[in-house]
Order: sequence, then structure tokens, then C-alpha cells
Amino acid sequence: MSVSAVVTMILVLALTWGAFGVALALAARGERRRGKGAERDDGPTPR
Amino acid sequence: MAASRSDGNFSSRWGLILAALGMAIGAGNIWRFPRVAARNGGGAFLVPWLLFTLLWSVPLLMVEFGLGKATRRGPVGAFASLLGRRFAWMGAFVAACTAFIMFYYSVVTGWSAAYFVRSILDFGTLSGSPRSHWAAVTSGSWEAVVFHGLAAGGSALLLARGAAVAIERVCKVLVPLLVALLAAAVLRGLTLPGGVLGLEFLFHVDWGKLSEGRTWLEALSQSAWSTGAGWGLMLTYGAYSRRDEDVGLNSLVTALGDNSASILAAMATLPAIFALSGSVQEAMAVTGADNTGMAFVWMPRLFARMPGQGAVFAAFFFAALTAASLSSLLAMMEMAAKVLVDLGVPRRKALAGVASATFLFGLPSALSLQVFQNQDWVWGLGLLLSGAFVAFAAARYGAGRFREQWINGPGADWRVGRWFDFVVTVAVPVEFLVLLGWWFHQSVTEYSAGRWWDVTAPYSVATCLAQWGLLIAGLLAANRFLAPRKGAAAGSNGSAGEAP
Repeated sequence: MSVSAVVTMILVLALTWGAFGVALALAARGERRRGKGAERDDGPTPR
Repeated sequence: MAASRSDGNFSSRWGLILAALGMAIGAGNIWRFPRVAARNGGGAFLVPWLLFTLLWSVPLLMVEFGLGKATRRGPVGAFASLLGRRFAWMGAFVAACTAFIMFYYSVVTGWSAAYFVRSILDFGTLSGSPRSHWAAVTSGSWEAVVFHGLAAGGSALLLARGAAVAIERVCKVLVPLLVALLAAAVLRGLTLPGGVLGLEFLFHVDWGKLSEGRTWLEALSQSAWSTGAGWGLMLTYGAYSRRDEDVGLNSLVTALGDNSASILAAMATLPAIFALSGSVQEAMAVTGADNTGMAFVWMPRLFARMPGQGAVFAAFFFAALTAASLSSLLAMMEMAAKVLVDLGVPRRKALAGVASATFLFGLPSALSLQVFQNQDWVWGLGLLLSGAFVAFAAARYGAGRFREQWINGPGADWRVGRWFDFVVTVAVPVEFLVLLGWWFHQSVTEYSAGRWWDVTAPYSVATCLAQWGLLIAGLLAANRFLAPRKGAAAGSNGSAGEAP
């Protein structure tokens, strides 16, 4: 494979699989935050 | 908090994302993207393709998801709820266009499944004379009809176990299976002598292609068709999402996941094509074939050149094609059933009706390749109009207002900026007009040269306009009956729709 094809492959994989992975990680972070929020909401409310 | 399974919604965000990926990743990722990318500049093609993910697919997925989440209805009810009952026909066009695709997509799923079975039981027939076998399958064979019926009926049975819950359960198997099959094919393809040439062909950069309008239009077409944006499917899944579900990031994940699957599919198919072709010219001929020609004629012919392994490789390829098609077919059937459920039809009756209609109206495509090609042309282009209608819905409501209320509302993990307003009000309408004009130009000068005015020519402008016109006229005439009545249940998840 030519050098330019290898470089393009790495760039394309970063922009597709890499970006997909980052987006999934952000979604997971959002879920964790949501879970913590729900725990706080469900806890006993001090009066 | 995750919604409970008993309310018909997705059980978690991951269930929703898997279902959305199953919806977006279809046959086009496997049989179209690798050919189109490789023939339009390789690495250079990928630049506009990625750009149009943000300038068409992601914003439209967001609008759809937001619409479904806000209204808890399918496309018809969602358009009526957001824009008023007089716009119900527009949502009905989106739903009908996807339903017409569903009719022949069931045939595609059936073909893929039939070829998978033949790969295992009777690979000799498949590989001996692939062209004549394909001609026999597509000219009134029992095989095409039976497998088409199995695809339609089997999908309805899977969906009968619940809306989102059933889709989620099936996609939890199909999507990882598809990725595993493609990954295995990548490894095997690259270890074949000459397989690396396929990667070189895919990732070579022909910058000159970027100065050709065709490259940009092919890239936009691929992005528009592949991600499922504008089909009304994400809208339906949005109706089954949590009320505080994120819209922007989930839409982005769906589009990026679809792109990743396309790249994986290209890395799986092109090395095999180049390794098994007798020459570069032959490999170019394979990538120059049409979708069905590449998948059902060329691939079996190439697999036959792998002594002792051809049947296994063929089974992998057609299993992947079946898994990709089935997960998208399920989404289409669920969308159609949701429209009927919104109108008050019980879910099981709605599914039976959708399955019967899919079988009956798909029969002409199962019996004649020419009918299939015509329907693919007419409703494939119809999706561009559907996409424009989806953008119109957000623009008419107020793009900024829609964004703040239904995309950046409660639960948003990613606050979408004003670029969204520009895309749905300016970019998508312009892209639609340019793209439709280009495809019609192709019809006049190439596909139906001299017969573009002939409604009986499979790829003519006239057949497109006539079928769209008939559908729109019928929907406008029936508009008052299309929208769900006020107070009607919003769907099988039993939650009332919100009038935004």
C-alpha cells in the first residue's frame, strides 16, 4: 500500500470509528450523570 | 431512570442506540458504499461523504427523533401534532414512501436469506453459473416468493412480541453479529494474496475527483440513503424513547455508527474482490456493476475461486447481508404498524395488515427485476423529498424553537448550536433541489435517454413524477382522515401525545 493510502486510512478510521467511539463514551458519561441525578432524586428528602 | 419494559419503550439508552444502528445499517452499507466510494476518488470521496453526514443526515435524524419524542406518534400523527392537521399528508408521504421501500426491501431480505441457505446447502448451483441462477431467481421463481414471504411474516412475528422491546432484543443479536461477520471477512480478505490491493483502491486519494460535481452528489446521495435520515424510522423510535432521552448525541452516534459500518463493509468486500478477481480490470468490472449485480452475481462467482472455502465465505457474506437487511426491515415494519396503531388499530391487527401488505405489494418486485428496479428508483428518490419534508417541519415550526424545545430540552447531553437552524432551513432544501435535479438529469441523459417522458420506462423522470403525484394527490384528498383524532391514544406505549 502506498504511504498516502495508509495515511488516508488512518485518518478515515479516526473520523469514523474513532469519532463513533468518542460519541459512545460521551453517551456513557451522560448516562452515568443521569444515574447519579436519579439517585439523588430518589433519596429521602430532608424536611 | 431506565423506562420499564412493560410500557413498550426502549429499556435503556443502549437498547435505543442498538435499534437505531440496526435501522441505519442496511444492505446499502454492504453492496453500495464500497463500490461508490472506490469509484469516486477513494479517500477523496470520503471527504464530502463525511461532510454531508453533518449537512444532511445528523440534523434530519435530530428532527425526526425530536418529533417522535415530543409527540409520541408515528410520522403522520407527528406532522399533524407539530404543524396542524392540514399537514398530515406530508407525514403520510414520509410514511408511504418508506412503506413502498419496505415492500421491495422484504424481497431483498428474502434474496439474501435464500442465497445464505444456498451457500450452505447447495453452493455448487450458486457458484456454477451465477448469472443464470440470478436470472432464474428474479424471473418468477418460487424461491424469491417464499423467502420474501418468510421475511415479511417472520419480521411481523418478531415485532408481535412488543414494539421497542422486540426490536431491541433482535438488534442486540443482529448488530453485533453483523459487526463480527464483517470483521471476520476483513481479516480473511486481507490475508488473501492480493487482498491489500482492495484497501489501496479504497483509500487511494484522487484529489482531482473533488473538483467533479458528480463526486459530491454521489457522496450526498450515499449519506442521505444510508443513515435512514428522512425515512420516518428514527421518528418512530423517538416515540418509544424516554421522555428525558437525549436527542442530539444519540442522532450523532447513529450516523457515526452507520459510517463506521460502511467503512468496515468496504474493508471486508474490496480486498476479497481484488484478491479473487483475475485482474484489476475484472475487479473494476465488479465495482462497476449495480447493487444486486455485485452482490448476487459477482460475489458468488468470486467465492467459487476459493477451493474448499468458497461456501464458507459466501455464507458469511450473505449472512451479513441478511442481518443488515432484516434489522432495517424491522424498523420499516414497525414504522408502518405505528401509523396504524396511532389511528386506533390494535397492534396485532396492524402488524398482520402490514405483513400482508408487504407480501402482496412486494410480489411484483419478487417476480420481476424490472419492477424492483423501478420501485427502487422511484422511492429511493422519494426519500429525498421525505428528507425535505422533515426539514420543512422543523423550519415551519421555527428551527431555533424546535432546537431549544425538542433537541436541547431536558436530558440533552449535547447542546446543539445554531448551525442546526442554518442546515434545516437553508442547506437541506438546497441539497434536495440540487440532488433531485442531478438524478433527473442522469435519467434524461443516461438511464432513460430518449424515454425520460415515458412512464413505463423503469428509470424515467415521468415514472417518478407520476407515482409521486398519484400518491400526493391521494394523500391530499384523504388528509382529513389521516391524522389521529384528538384524544386518541398515541400508540402501543400508551402514552398520550404532547401537542408541542
